[in-house]
Amino acid sequence: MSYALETDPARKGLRALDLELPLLASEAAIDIDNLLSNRSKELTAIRLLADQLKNSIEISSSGAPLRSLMDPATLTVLGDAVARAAGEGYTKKIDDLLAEAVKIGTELSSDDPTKNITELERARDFCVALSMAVVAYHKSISDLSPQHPFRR
Amino acid sequence: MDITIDHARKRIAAIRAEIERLKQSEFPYTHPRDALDQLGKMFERQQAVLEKVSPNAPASVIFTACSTSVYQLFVYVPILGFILRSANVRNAFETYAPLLRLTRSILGPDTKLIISSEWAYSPHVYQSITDLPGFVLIGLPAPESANPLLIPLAGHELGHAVWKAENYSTKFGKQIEDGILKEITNNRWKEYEALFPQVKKEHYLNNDIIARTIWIAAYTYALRQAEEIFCDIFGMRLFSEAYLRAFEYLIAPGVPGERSVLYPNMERRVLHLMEAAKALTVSVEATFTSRFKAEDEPRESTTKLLVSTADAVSAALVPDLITQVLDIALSRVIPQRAFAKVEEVCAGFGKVIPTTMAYSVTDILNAGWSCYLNDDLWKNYQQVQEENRGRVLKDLMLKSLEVSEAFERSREVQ
Repeated sequence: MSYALETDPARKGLRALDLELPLLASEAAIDIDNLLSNRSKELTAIRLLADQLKNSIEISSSGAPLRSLMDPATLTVLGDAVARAAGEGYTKKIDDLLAEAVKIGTELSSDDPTKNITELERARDFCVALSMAVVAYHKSISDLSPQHPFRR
Repeated sequence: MDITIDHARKRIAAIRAEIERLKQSEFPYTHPRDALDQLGKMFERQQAVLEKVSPNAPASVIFTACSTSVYQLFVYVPILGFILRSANVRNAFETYAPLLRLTRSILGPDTKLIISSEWAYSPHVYQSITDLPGFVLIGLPAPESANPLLIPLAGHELGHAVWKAENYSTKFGKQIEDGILKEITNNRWKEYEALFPQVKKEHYLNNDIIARTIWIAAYTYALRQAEEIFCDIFGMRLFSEAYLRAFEYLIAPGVPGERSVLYPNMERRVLHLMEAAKALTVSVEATFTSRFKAEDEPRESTTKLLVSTADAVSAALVPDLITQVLDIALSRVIPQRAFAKVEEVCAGFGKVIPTTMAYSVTDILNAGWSCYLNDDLWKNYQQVQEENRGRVLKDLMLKSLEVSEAFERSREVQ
């Protein structure tokens, strides 16, 4: 038995409890920003995050609706990130959320992400929001377990 | 240079320097140093990420990079302290090798184990530490960390590692999600409608995000409760009666006040243990349940409703959780308490001698508890004074663990 969970980046999906995810999403945001500003063309973190997004949603070739492969907490965190990045008035439907996530994943794995600057900026905002949403979720769980009654 | 980025870089440089200093500590076994190496690499990567941030980047990008690095410090500084304390002489190092052997029989031969005496009363395990794959970090309360009678509590903590390794969160996740939605829409609808009038039944049934933000808390509680129940059952499978005795020693009768939402309440936790004891053929004293005091339920109405929903769902999972533990035990070489062996070890302890051959850690710990609860132990041995009884018994247990480990090792090299 392998003790570690999926470690193959090509097969790893998003997990809200993945401690590495906030750093990966933040690094992807930095790399996108550097791409947008022509400071560097580093794509590793962007590609890794794109793979995780793709591995989290099942796309049927027969045209069936998109299906989430994420646990409910991860799906909620992803929804939070997509909503934060999209701003006010974002959809409340899971199907729309998954479609939006697929769109972002496609942009992140594009051969030339800079060809659509507006989409790339949106992807950057999503990465920022995802990093924040994951940390917020971790905090919400740890806040349920107070360490000491008199510790402040 | 942006002062926020500068501070972030200096913070990471400081922790990397601290990790290098920690590596100079005298660790009694190699795994703590291996963990420090891994964490050193992780912070090296963190430093490299911060170096990539341009001061001209949008504020949101800078803030996210810097706050992520702060978060990593909140997560890892306690773990570095844990690793340092694993070298403290307060730990019973005699227990390390048998526990590592047991851990590897459950989680695989490459698993690394760090045990530390911690200044928190509740035994705990650090898990989901992505940068320490294959590591199990178990903390035992400092005043009892050298007490072999409480080793069975490590069984509960190993259960958490098994839960993660077997990906049970995913396995049970869908069952819990369905259970929560069914409980809300079929059994508790009036209460939910009264508390959240803006959310209609179809929002739950259609899996809308608006309903999800409500029930996700109940889902999280139920999932965590299921994990804790699994760990109790797993600990009992590993250590049988000794687990129940150590559990009682540590927390009975419990602490007054509101229960934790992440565990079943104490009454239910003990009842689940009783249910599992039947399936695992573990003997339980008739008065066991009466030694624990009921806890208060949450008073705040939303929490109360969400927790009671989670309770119903996690309680329904108990038979499945027992089956999982039995399946895991069958698929691994996990020692089971053998009454005859326990008797043999007890007979030796009765003559104030440790074991002189290999016994499983489970049998030694059960023999220790059996002797500990025997009021007549060493009544005829005047050289063992009443006030020294506990200390002598613990020394015999620790020595027996060492002797058994020596036999195991010599068997391996033959």
